[in-house]
Amino acid sequence: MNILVPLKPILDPAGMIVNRKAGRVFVNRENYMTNPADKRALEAALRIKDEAGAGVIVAAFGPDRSADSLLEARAMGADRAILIDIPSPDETVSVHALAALCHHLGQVDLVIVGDSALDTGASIGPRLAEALDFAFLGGAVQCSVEGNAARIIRRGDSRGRPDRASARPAPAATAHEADLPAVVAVTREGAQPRYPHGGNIITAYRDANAIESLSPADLGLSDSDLQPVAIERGQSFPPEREFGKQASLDDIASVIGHR
Amino acid sequence: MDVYDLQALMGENIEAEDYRDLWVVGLAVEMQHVASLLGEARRMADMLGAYVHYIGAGDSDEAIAFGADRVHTLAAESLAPDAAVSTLATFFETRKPEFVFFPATDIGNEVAGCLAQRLKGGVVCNCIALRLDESAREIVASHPVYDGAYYLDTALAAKPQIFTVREGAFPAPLRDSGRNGETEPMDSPADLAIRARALGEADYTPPAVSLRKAARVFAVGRAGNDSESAAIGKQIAEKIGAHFAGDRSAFDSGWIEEDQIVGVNGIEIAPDVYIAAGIWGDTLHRAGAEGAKFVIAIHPDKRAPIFSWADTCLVGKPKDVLPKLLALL
Repeated sequence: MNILVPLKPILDPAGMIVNRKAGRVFVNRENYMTNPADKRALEAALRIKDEAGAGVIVAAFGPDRSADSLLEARAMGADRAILIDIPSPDETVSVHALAALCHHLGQVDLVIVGDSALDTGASIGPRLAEALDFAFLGGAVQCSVEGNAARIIRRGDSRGRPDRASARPAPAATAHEADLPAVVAVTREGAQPRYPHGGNIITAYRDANAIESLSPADLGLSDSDLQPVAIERGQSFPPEREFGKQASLDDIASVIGHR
Repeated sequence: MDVYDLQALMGENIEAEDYRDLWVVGLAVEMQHVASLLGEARRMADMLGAYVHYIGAGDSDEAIAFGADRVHTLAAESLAPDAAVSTLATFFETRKPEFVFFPATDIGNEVAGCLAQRLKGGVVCNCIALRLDESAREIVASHPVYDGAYYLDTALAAKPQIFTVREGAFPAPLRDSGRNGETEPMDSPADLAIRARALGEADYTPPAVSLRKAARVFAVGRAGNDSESAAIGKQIAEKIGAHFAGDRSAFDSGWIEEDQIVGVNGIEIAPDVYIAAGIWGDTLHRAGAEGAKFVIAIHPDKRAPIFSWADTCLVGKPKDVLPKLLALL
């Protein structure tokens, strides 16, 4: 069984300051890290590998920024790392390329993705499932493979707390399954990613062939597939925080309920 | 009569390729959320000269009162994600929607994503604001990134343009019970490809989160508190799913353990919501709790420094306030 895990390198939020007053994001340290949900997805895949045995393939878009994410994944236990030579694709292009990658690799039974990227959107999982015509299971905190089916556990409330501070208790966690091939989206509440063994990190970085590179042409992507749909039109900022605002008890109760 | 027939009668040119109208899809979501989407769609439709369609299992008269021109009613069993995608995709292939709004729930995001892929459109999830550019016929959507640190403004170059919108993004619309609209039942395809099976409740306990990483923290201090009200504070914390903590004075009073002290001399926290009852909020405490995204402070003394860094403030003795707060939650 082969499991594909797409990884997205994102700008490390620790290296940037958001100034709401100036309406700007100041990047002090341009440091990239693997998107947290994607790392949980990788951990889910590696756990399936540990239990049932599977080939784990990680993929990221390059040419730059992604090498560290891929090498870290190799050190954590991924069997293959693939760098797709498309610089910063939007979600539409990513979905086209990842679907093409699945066909190129052949025999991909399970794709595990992070359910949302910190720096963009949250629809890569369902879109990829649709593009590949796979079943989709979203919002997973745990993922396993039982026989020929993927099984997940979904938290009752995606934010994991009682609904709206009312008398309604948080709904219980539920299990779901779908026959393979499937796409599973893992949330940031998934299993804690493992730390790679130091020796494995050195091996991964020393291995010149640790990362395989594929161009859009290798994947049979045409120019129209590489046309982005989402166009960035800048940034906007939440209003500045105002301190010292007096409120009544009812206001406080409703604020607690809504946050 | 169908609105399309009406347009034909009025001599408007209908081309099959044209993407048109605004569509709101309600997926088993509270009417209040859907109503705000309908209100916003109505406002945009008036600017564009388009119609507002509503698809959902809910009350069609309500949807019309909040701004829909035409309601397509759907059987409730067609609202499961898999079924909704096939039903909506089949329907939209002939109707060609220009803009589609979904509520930004987990199911809404899933269905919107699948639909965008199948209809070769674009999608932006979890929008908190939409701005319509009438001349370009496009919507620029703001959606939060980095846990809401700032918003990214995104436009879509493909049609249909699909958006899932967070609750509370738009003001509640006016309800006009005198509005007219039409209702028509929508057929679902006979063969619904449902691939995800629900297996019922699962045995799952979320991993314990330390105070340092807690999303909500409720802390008590000595000012205006006694051991009884501190115990009520603990009950409130349990009720709202928050970690119970305190400052140094609460530890000295024996209400909390040493590993529950918030401040530079204890644990530094950065929760989404921090509620402090009876905490003076000096520099040492502030440095440990200032990472909180939203601070609610209750303190008997209005000169307390915590009020200078709290978003919501209440001057009052916690031992009077907390029992009332517990009753309200």
